[in-house]
Amino acid sequence: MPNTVIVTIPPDPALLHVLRQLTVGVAARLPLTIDDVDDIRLAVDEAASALLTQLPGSSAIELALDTDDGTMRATVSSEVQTAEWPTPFLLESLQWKIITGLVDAATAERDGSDRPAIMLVKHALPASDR
Amino acid sequence: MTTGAPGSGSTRIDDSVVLALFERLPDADAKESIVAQSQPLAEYLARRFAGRGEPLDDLIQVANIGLLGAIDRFDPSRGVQFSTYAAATMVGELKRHFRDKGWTIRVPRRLQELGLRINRLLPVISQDLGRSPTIAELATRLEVEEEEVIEAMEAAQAYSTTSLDAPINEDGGTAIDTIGDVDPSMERLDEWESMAPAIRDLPSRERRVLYLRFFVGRTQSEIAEEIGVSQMHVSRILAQTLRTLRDSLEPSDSGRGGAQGSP
Repeated sequence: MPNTVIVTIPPDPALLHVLRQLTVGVAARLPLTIDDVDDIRLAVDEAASALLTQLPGSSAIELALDTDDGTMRATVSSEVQTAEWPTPFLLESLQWKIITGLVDAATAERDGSDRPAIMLVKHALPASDR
Repeated sequence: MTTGAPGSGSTRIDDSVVLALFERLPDADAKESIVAQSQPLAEYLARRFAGRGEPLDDLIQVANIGLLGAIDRFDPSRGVQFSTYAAATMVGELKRHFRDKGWTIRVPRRLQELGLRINRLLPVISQDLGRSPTIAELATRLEVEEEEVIEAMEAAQAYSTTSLDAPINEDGGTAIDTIGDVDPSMERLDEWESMAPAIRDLPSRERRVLYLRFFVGRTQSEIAEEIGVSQMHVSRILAQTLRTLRDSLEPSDSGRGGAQGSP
């Protein structure tokens, strides 16, 4: 993953701002409008918070940000043992509706390391609009 | 339509009602009535400071300390509206509460000024481009580094304590003026409300921003234009509203045992 920025934080809601700041910093590399940057920031915050509340006992939250091919991809993963992901409760939750409303695509799957994760995608401005 | 639910009402204080009550002071009942009249505003202001690690109930208490001080010191003959005076006093008390705890909510002047420049420039650039600008475009126009724009955006988030009486638009309207009536088409919020009853308790402007962003699908800049505040202001309202909702959904003392119970 040559173009991926990764940060790991302890499972502490007080540290979510680190993820928000990093998201904005990386998003600035792309031609995303500030509305879009703000949306992805909020979505990352909600996703990390959803992982923390839905899967108690996490030992770390990881955020991986990828800007390949002009698209912002954020993967928020939780270091936690769980048999069921996504939980039906997550997909029915208000938080999930908020997350999907903020980005172009959101999925709850397992990441490459088999950890429960939420993947977010926000497309940059089309070339014709720059 | 569930807008008749308790708590969904206006955060306004009816100044004429309150003024009549002041004439009856030091009558204890009158004082109590003023406190009661001011509760929605006290709670609204307290909520604006929520999400910083202090329980909302404590913040409401702090706002009420400010309120009592405002009632004691308010002089109707000076021609200032009580709502204006009380809001300023409560915000002052809330800020002092955080300052006393050693928490910094002060934003460096440099970033405040950059934030103001961004706020002024955004509508102009957005009009030129037909969309909101990217961070790079903003930095170029402002002749600052992209990093500074990012910093200013972040600072604007932290600085969610702007006085409600600070002018937010050209014609001198204040944040309190924009807390308008509930849009009738907000019925579609019902489904969300059933998931998060706290939505019902949001001040109407917060509900409106939530509605426009998630149901009408407007961008933050479009919402900013519609309700007459800056994009950064909308960003703050949205972030704060989502935080409020999230806090309301987290298992409370009563829910915690049940939610995580079975081994």
